[in-house]
Amino acid sequence: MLSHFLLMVVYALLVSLFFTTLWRRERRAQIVLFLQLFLGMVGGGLIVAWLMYPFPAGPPAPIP
Amino acid sequence: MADTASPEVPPAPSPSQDAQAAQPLPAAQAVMAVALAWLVPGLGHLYLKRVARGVIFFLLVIVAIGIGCGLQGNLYRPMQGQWLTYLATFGEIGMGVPYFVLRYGLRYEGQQEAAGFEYGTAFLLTAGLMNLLLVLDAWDIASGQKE
Repeated sequence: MLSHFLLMVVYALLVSLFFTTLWRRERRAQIVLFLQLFLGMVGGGLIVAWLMYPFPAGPPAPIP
Repeated sequence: MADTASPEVPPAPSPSQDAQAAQPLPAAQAVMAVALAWLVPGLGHLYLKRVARGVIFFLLVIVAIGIGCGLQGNLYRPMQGQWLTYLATFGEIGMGVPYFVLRYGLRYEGQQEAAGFEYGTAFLLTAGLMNLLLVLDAWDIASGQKE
């Protein structure tokens, strides 16, 4: 359950379903919006991760 | 000259406009819908007879809360000198009764040392903010601005 990617996918799934149900009524429009949101979030996350890949990770932040 | 004398006839509404037009509810019912929408996710939509949507919203928000708690995310409370905690608390209180059940019923706080702490916090915050959007949506439906 603690896979970063899996959590990102689950999060994107929940949020995409939520906004699809909130904003669209017709089935076809719902599917289109769901795909746009879901793929946008997952794909965008992967692109940002890829862009950050060259930068080294710093030491973990201390727990106050 | 005859054109200027003829009375103006308003254009007939199209069928799609007819379908979107909704009658506003009385103020008391609108307030009730908003209150129920905040108290229990999806209940405002159930009250407004949007049963399927209400059930879907309830499940989505509850699943988000469940995952957030499973990951030991932070259930915010206001802390003096940290004004962002006020905003975050407001956002999480947006989930309604579940916030108070977690806070005072189950004594849930989250664990900062847990591996999923940050993710869990994101899920809990998102659940609260989603429910706040549902409150606004219930108001729009009740006031006739949205079908």
